[in-house]
Amino acid sequence: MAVPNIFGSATAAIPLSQLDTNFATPVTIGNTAVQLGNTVTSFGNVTLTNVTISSGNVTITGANVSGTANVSTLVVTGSETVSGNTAVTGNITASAFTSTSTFGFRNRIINGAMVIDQRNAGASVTSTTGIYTLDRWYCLNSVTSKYTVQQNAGSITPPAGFTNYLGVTSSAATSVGSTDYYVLRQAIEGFNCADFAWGTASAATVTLSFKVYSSLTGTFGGAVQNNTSARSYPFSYTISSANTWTTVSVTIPGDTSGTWQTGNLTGIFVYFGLGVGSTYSGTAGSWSGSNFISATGATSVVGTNTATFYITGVQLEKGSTATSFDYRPYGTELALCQRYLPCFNFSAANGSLGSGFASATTSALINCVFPVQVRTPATGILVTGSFNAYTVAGGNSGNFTSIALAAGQSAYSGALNCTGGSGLTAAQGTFLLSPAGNSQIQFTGCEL
Amino acid sequence: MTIPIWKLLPAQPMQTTQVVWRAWPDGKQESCLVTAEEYVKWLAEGNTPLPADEVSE
Repeated sequence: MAVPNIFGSATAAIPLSQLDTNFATPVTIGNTAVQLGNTVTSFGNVTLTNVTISSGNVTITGANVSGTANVSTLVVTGSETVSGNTAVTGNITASAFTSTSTFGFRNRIINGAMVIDQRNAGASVTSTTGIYTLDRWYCLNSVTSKYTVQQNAGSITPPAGFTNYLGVTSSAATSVGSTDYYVLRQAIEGFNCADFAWGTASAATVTLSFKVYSSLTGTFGGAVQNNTSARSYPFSYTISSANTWTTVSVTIPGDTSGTWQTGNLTGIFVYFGLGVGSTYSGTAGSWSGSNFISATGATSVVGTNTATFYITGVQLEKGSTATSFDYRPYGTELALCQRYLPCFNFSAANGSLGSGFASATTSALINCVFPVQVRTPATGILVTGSFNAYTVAGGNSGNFTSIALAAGQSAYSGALNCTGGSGLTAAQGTFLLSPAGNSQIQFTGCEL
Repeated sequence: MTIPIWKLLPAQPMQTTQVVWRAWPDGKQESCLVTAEEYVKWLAEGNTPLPADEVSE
C-alpha cells in the first residue's frame, strides 16, 4: 500500500485519518488522555521527579504540599495554610506577621527561669504557712517548716539552656491529711492574661510547660485557678526517671465560666503540688467549681524526708502547643519582678538609697523612687542592715535605730521614716546611705 | 526565733493610716500599715501591739 503522505515532503497539514493507527492511539499522562492535535492545559494525578522551573510563575491553588519542596523564591499572593511544621533555613520577609500566640513575651509567667532572687540572693528559706521565695514564687502551706526552698538547691546541673532552678527539699516525712496542702504557686496579674478571655465564650486554650527534676517518680499534680478559688483545673504529669530533668507540657482548654480578673489583681493562679490532701485535690483534666490546687492521687514531695523537687523553665502561653522557652533579657525580667517587689540591695559601703530632709535632729524622712511603677503602693517594709543619713556638714547621723514606713506611699515611690539618729539639722536636705553595705530594704505589699 | 511584738508608731503629718514597727533578734526591722494583711492576721490571733511613744513637741 502506497504511503499517502511522506512527512519529509508534505506541504500541508496531514489529517489524522491518513496516519497509521498507532499515531491515533492516545497517550495517557497521569489520568489525562492526549492525542496528536489536542490542546491539553491540565493533567491529573501526575508525579514529577526532579523538576526545575527556572523562569515564569508557578501558581499553586488549593494544593497540599507534602514531603520536601525546595523553593528558591516563593511568592504567596493568596492565603495558604500550613498545618504541619515548617522549617525554613533562609530568611522570611513579610509585610506583617500574625500569630495565635505571640512572637515575643509569649510567657505569662514571670521569672520562669528562676533567675531573679531579690529577697534571698540564693540563700535557703524554710517554709512557713505563706512565704515568698524566688521572685514571684510563693509557697502556701498548712503547716510550717516542712521543707526548704533555695535557688539552685543541691547544685545539680540545670537543664540545657538554663542556669537556675527553684529547688524544694523536704525536711521530714510529713503525713498529708485530707485538708493539708503544700504548694508552690505563682499569681499572674490579670493585666497579663486578660487576652485569654477566660470566663467568656472566646476563652483561649493555653499551654503550661516546665522542666522538672525529682528524687521521686510517679504522677505529680498541680492546678490553675481563678482569684476566688471558685474555678479550678487540676492537671497531672509523670516523672518516670528519678533525678533526671523531664520536660512537661500541659494543654489547658480555656474556661468559659467563672469570673477571671483582668486588672491588677490575680488573673490566674498556677499551682504545683508538693503534697495536697483530698479536700483540695480534684480530677485532672477538667474544669471544676471547687477549690482544687492539685490532682487526685498526686505524689507527695513532703511525704518523704530529704525528697527533692526542682523546677525551671516554667511557661504559660496562649495556644495548644508548648513553644521554646521565652528568654527575656535579665534587666527586663528584673523589672517585671520589681513591679511586685521594689527591693534595694547594697553590697558596697555608702551606697545611696534616696533623698529627703531631716525632720528633727534625730530623724529624717526619705523618699525612695521605685525602678518601675509597682502593682499597688507598698504597705510595709523589711529592713536588713544599717542605714544613716548624710548631713550638710559632711558627717552622718549615725545609724538610725528605727526605719519604718512613712506617709506618702505611691505606685512610684516609697517613703521612709528614719528615727533614732543624731547630729542632723531639722529642715536640711539629706539622703540615706548604707554605711557598711550588706544592707537591704524591701517594700512589701506590692506582690499578689 | 522569738516573734517580736508590733509597736504602734506616732502618726506622721499627712498620714492617714497608722504604722506599726518591730525589730527581730537578728537585727531585721519590719514595719507596715495597720491595714496590711500580715498585721491584721496577727491581731486576729489575739495579739495586742505595744503603744506608741509620746511625741515631745
